[in-house]
Amino acid sequence: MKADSHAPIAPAIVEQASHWLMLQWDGQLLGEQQRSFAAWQAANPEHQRAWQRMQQLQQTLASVPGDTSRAVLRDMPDQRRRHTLKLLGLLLMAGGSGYVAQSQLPWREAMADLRSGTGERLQRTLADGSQLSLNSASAVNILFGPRERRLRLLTGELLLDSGKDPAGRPLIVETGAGEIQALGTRFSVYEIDDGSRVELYDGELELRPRSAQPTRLQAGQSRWFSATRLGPLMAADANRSAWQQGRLIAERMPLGQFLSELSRHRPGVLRCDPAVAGLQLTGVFPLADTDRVLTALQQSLPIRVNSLTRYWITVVPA
Amino acid sequence: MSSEALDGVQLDALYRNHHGWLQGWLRKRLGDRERAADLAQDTFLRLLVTRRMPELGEGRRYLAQIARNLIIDQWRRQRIEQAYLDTLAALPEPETPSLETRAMIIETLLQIDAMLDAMPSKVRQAFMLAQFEGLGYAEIAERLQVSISSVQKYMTRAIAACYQVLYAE
Repeated sequence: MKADSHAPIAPAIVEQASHWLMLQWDGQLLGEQQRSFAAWQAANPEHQRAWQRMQQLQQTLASVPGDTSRAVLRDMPDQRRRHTLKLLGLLLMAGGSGYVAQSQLPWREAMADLRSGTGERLQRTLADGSQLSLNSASAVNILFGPRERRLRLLTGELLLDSGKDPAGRPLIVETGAGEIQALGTRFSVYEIDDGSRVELYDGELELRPRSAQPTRLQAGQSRWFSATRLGPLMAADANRSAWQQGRLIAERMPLGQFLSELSRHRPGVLRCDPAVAGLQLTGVFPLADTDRVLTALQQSLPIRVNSLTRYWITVVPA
Repeated sequence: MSSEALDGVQLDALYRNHHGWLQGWLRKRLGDRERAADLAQDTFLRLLVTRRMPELGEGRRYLAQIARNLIIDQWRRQRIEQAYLDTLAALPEPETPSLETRAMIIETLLQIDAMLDAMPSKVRQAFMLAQFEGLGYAEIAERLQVSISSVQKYMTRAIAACYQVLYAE
């Protein structure tokens, strides 16, 4: 008897049992239906066994409140399983890679749908017409499903001109800190100081830290947030998005900040001596040739660029 | 890929021939020696539980496949756990369930997630509206712009998909 109760049930019987459960979910069976259901159950012990399993199935579903299921499962991107398998397959063929060691969860970055190398900037038109730009050394997973459009920023920075989705699916950018839901917008997100900074140029969006109250952002505003905390509201810096056009714009920017921005666009180490980090500069610089930018800096500021190699550069007082 | 039952001698041979390779393979992909070692161990454990034997010459491919599924399961679990804890964090204090209840709910959520994953998109929509939103079939039909008999078909398919997740071998 015990071994029997684990044996598979014929698919046709499972099909019939599913049909009966479907009818019951819509309400009490009445009259004629009730009688034919009772007859079906009595007709075959296998029917009974299938029905017991259906009741267990129902109990399983009922053991989690609908609200909880909805809140937890709503945002699970579907086809994720197959999708990830495909990516892992590609990874397998591509063989080992050098960039695996840097991050806490490196395989996530290795499997990113879109990644830019250092000094590289990418632009893509997504399936819904949104324009996605990736800054240097960034990675993003694109998870568009029937229920939502989700971009997961794994590292670096993205800028999004969101298109209007015919299907009305919400557009969500996810980072380690939480989620940003776009409400028809142009905005950028970048990973900084163990959180994410969002700069909103157009439209409106909602910030949803993982464990803090959500808040809205209006056009022209910028805000940093982590999983648990929201930073102060600031004005968005339009110059920040200039990388999309391959430029770095500085307006009285401290040299230290400028160099750390520049270093995102070139391989190797770029250090700044604290003695000159506070010097301010203004200008528009091409990101395509960062060597030339460094040379130009030497001419306009009291500094010297020490390059041991192209990959190890220190900026010191002249 | 395999239907033959696995015996102790075969498992032993698989372990001797491929355990080192698998661990290296995982380490290269995860960048984490300890996690790679754990996962390699779990892979063989899974093999032992399912008792299925790869075909000749397919050993490594088969092990890699199991390991990949384990990584994805872990990822899935992490996501669901995190989302559930976030949901709890939004609840008022007195409703916080015990650790055991939480573990059970997370297990069930994983099952439901697998069920949803097994459904075609329309079927899933109908199922979610019925189960999570408590809508009747007539309301679902209106929401999805289909006939009531279509909704009934979707729901029957949804139930069959749930059944497969819970009872299929």
